[in-house]
Amino acid sequence: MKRPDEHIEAEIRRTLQVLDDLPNLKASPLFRVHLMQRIETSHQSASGYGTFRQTEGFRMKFAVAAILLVINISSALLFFNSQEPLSLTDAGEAIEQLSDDYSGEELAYYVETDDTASNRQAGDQAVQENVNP
Amino acid sequence: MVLNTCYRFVMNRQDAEDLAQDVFVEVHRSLESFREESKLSTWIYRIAVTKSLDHLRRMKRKKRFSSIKRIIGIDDPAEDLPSTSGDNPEQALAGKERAGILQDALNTLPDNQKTAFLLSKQDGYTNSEIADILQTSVSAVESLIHRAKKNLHDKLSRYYTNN
Repeated sequence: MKRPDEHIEAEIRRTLQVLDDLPNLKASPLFRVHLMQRIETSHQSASGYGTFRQTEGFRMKFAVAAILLVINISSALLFFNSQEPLSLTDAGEAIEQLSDDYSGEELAYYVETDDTASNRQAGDQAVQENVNP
Repeated sequence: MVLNTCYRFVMNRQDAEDLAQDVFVEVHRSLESFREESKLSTWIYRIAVTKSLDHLRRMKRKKRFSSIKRIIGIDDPAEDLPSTSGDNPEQALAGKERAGILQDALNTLPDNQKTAFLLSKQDGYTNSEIADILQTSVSAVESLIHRAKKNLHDKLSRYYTNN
């Protein structure tokens, strides 16, 4: 019964031994050269990105300020225009326009005269006769 | 030391060299922000550990993605190449398999347990230095190493029982 357990324990020991057996690495001869190249590259890209960020940041701030200014001016203009008193002639015209708009035939569909009701009934009967001759 | 620290985590020479370079680039970039609250060497090893753990996380994601690729039928033959180190191909293959099993088991450990255990396995790190790197106490490091060993043993035992 003990054999499988012993086998498993041995496997575990051997597997953990892999970590102890890892050799101590020495950096390859080109390690330093590659490192200096990477540091140089990162230094250049960092300085380039920094100037880009500075100019880009200034442009962004300027654009946002300009948009805010335009919004402010336009909202002020709208506010002052809405403050003008409505003249009596204008009000009369507006009321007339409204009454024209809401008394048109398109919006009077709910007014059903006797003629239209009887016409509809005749139409319905004709349809039923066609379906059940 | 930085190279070997990274090597303990990734178990691959090329990746360890790339990571060590990343570490030194980061050190060069952030040297001004070093506040001298710890020793410079501790700070550098902390960066090495962070970079190595990040690399392992990336590899885990990549592995997950490659399993999906394998399921849908896109196989990368380079992934299955045996290691070139070792005395003969059979031993190399067995060693690679064991290393893979160990790495899988290590990857299931929490980061602090994994770090404490791997640093303890490397010559040159005392528990006090590991505690400085992990920004914790020596007794906490001892506990982390003990728990890591127990968890690894359990996971490997489960693996070998099932296979």
